Amino acid sequence: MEDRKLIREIQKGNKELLNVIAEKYYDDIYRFCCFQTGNPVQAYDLAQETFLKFIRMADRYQYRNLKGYLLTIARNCCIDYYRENARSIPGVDEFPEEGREDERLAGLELRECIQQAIQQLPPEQREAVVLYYYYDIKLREIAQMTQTGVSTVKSRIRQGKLKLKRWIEEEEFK
Amino acid sequence: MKRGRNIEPWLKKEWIAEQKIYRIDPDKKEKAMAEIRAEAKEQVLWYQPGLPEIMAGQLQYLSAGYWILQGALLAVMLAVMYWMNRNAEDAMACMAAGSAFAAFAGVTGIQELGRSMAYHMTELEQTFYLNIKQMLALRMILFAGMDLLFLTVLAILTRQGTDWGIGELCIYLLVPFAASHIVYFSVLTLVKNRRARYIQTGAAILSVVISMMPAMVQEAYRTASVPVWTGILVCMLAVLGIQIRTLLQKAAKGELLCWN
Repeated sequence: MEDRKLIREIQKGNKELLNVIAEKYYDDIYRFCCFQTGNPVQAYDLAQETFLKFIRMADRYQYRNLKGYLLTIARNCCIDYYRENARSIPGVDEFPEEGREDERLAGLELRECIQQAIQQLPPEQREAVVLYYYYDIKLREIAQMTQTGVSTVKSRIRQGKLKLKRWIEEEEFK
Repeated sequence: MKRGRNIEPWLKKEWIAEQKIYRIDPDKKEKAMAEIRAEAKEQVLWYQPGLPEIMAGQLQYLSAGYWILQGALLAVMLAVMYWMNRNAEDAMACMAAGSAFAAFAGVTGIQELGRSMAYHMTELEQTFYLNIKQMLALRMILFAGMDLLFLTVLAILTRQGTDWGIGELCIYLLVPFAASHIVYFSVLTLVKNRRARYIQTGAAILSVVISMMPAMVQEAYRTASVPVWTGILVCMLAVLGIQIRTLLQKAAKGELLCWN
């Protein structure tokens, strides 16, 4: 059943379909929380929290892109988590000075290098790259989610991708 | 910005799913899903229909009599105004006829609104998603829309037999329209049960007669009189606004419903 129909049925009282949505999008939300937090263990709790919040607001939900909506909730959950724990989002503190990122990535396998490189991006760029490439979210939706303009999102994606490419190519040639 | 076919493999979504770090532990996922299922089971969902669905629901409950009367009124108006435009020599006669129809325009809607006050409980339950105030407000909006359509047609037809501008004509037609509504709203909740309909019809006839009276005075429709008509219209709209507000407040308190 497509998302729009699922939501309509849920809002008519068919609560069991909430579980269908959770099954459908859990993996995506979990991975997004992993990207946001860099902590796979914490990501389970945040993914769960995302769906609990969605369920509590389900009757007020006005249909638009469901995946985008869930990702927005997940994003806010991650931000709230870091605010409550008085920590910055990973990548900011750990982000080395410009031009010294290769020190951190040196010695890693390529696969690990890519994963680390993604985590090393500044949070705004990482978020934009992840949402655009891994979740197929449109630029306008990313802009709405992050409360910025489309041109800002484009710039973040471009810069993030260039950084990743540069780091990974440097590692491949080693 | 295109994702394109030639993007790096590690920017493709399939790549993520293959990475060990992003693989999901089935036990942990099942534990989380159990919590989610429990929450879903506890959740009470209040269905909130959208405005189109609400409007469609309200249209469904309008009586056949309303539609028949509205259609008949429109047909009679078209026939009479068409005949008058062709045969009447005096513009004042057209104006009198137009005013009479304007005064009569709202009677079907107000009578239908009166029915809303006399609903039985099953009908109330069928409009479960709205409270009485919302239901009345929505119906008034529906009837106002239909009256507006009616008045537009009337204005176009009346203009063909007169020399007045469309703005001026609208004011001349809106005054009897507003006046008749003030009268209808006043009698709407005076009496309940079957007598109400006779009183409302009597009020309608009285409004029609009164609306035709300015046509007996040639000076009433001179351009110089437009500010006076406008002032009267503004006052009438203010009174109408107060009446509608009072009606909705009374409906919310339940006074009107208790009369049955």
